[in-house]
Amino acid sequence: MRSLRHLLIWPLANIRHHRVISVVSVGVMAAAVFLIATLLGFVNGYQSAVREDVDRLGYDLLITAKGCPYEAATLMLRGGVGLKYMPSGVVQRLHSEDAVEATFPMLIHPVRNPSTEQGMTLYKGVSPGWYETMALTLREGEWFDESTGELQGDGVVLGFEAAELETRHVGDPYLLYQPQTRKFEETRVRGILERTGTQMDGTVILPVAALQTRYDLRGRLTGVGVKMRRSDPAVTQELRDRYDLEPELQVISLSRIEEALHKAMDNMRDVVQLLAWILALMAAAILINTTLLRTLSEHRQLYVLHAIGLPHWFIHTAAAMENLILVGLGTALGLGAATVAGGISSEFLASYLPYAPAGDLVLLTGPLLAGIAAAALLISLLATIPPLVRLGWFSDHSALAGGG
Amino acid sequence: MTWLEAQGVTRRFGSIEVLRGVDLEMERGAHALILGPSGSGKSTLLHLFAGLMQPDSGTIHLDGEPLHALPNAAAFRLANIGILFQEFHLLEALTIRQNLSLVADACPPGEALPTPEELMEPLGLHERLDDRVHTLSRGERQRVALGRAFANRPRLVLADEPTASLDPDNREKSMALFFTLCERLGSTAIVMTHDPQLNAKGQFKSVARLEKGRLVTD
Repeated sequence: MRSLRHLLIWPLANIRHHRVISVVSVGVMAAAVFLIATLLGFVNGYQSAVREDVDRLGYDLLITAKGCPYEAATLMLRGGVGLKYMPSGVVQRLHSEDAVEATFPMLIHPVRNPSTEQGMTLYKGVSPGWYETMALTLREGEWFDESTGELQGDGVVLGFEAAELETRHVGDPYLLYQPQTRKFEETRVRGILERTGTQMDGTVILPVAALQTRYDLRGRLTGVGVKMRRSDPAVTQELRDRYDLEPELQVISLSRIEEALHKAMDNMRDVVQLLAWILALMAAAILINTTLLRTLSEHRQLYVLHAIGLPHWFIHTAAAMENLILVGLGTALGLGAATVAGGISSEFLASYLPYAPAGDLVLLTGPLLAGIAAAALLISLLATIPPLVRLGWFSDHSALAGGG
Repeated sequence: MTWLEAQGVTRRFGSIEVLRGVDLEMERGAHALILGPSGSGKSTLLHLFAGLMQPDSGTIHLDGEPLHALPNAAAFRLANIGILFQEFHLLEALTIRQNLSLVADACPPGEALPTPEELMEPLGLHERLDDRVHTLSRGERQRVALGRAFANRPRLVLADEPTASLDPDNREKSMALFFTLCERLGSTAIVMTHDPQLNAKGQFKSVARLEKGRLVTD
């Protein structure tokens, strides 16, 4: 039992003795593990981020004026709708549908605003129930009054970034620009939304009727969100097909949006997944190579232990322990870095995507981290086997002979 | 009474027959010197006596135990045999104390083993036990290797060219220390060397030469 302490003394002394090699080994392993974790985390996180984005839409169908479904889907996920106006009477017809529980007429109205750096303010007119359906929350202030079944109340509710950009707080005055008169009309900020991570953050929200009145767009809508009475795919499909046949309309179902986005992303995701797996294999090869080289470089020392008479289990465990310590350190550093830098990695990857959903694209779950750690440690243990098997047939003579 | 006995030991490496029937008899506590030029098979013979390799034919018995066919040669080696290698083969990353205690700690409990202090005191390194081996001079390493060969209180010590890298003065000192430790711990010794000067003082009662794969006694 006294010899057990040497199972730690010998590996630690070796690691310290070969300081540069040890630091390089740990660094290489940490980098490999970081890459594996980040890329597998991306594979893991991307799909759920898209799904969360879609869930945040809050309704089952979106009916817009005819246009490119991919553009409409993207605009919708970014908080907008198609910019063409819909024919009148669609909302009333939808109301009369048995399968429809509620409709959410919307008007998106971009206004060129000379007072802002961007030069463009996106006004969004919404209807009762929209706030609740979209599962929004207010950072400060209040939402419009919905008690009468209409959206009522003065002022505007600002998206998080719109408020930040113009340094507005609840109660502050807010100027709405009128392109026709080239004058500003004063109103006040009645609420500020929490950040959503979508383009909603940059919009100025009013009741749809108020927006139509202020900009002389009475009866105009850019889209209608439809919430179905129950989630029956066949009923939803029937309604979707019926309205989609109308020449001026297009209907996008949530599943279709998801499908469209996924289709658009599939090739890219496959490439990234392939890249992730190639890198993971490369990292595993680096891990094996590093541990194998270390164990082989110490083969003479291992043979000395054998010549002294130390049992094979001791030699094997000591060699494995050294690998475990190094791989353990590298894995901990790599996983730690991947976790800490998850947000940066997310932003970095998002900058290369044509459509990046809100939320964390790199999703590092406990099982994923545990799986990577277990795989790395297993690889390090397996890498100690070949040199030790070699101990069994290594030429004793060439290992230690002095020349006689 | 014969304590170590080798009979008709042969060992071949490929087409080269290095040992062609080695016979040797030694009494307990004896010191034997085996002379031979480089490539004569001295190290092979040392490995056979240490149980690190098996002969192709012939038998080797140590106090009745068949060294040529031990089921657990490593355990037997740890309990009975100490080896002093020509190139020392110390564990460079460890301290002197750790090199010595690694052997002692692995030995079966109950054995009265010399402490690192006791081993290094006659070798003059007892105050540097916590120095790492890689910081030592060649002569100092040789002394640590000598100490390690005795760390398990071996009944048999095998030395392979123990003074090959030392100057005449240090060679004499080193051999004196070797015999001191042998006497203190009651070890039998076999020393392999190419250097006949190692027995200049006639300390070895038994001297043999390895010639053409056989041991020849003068």
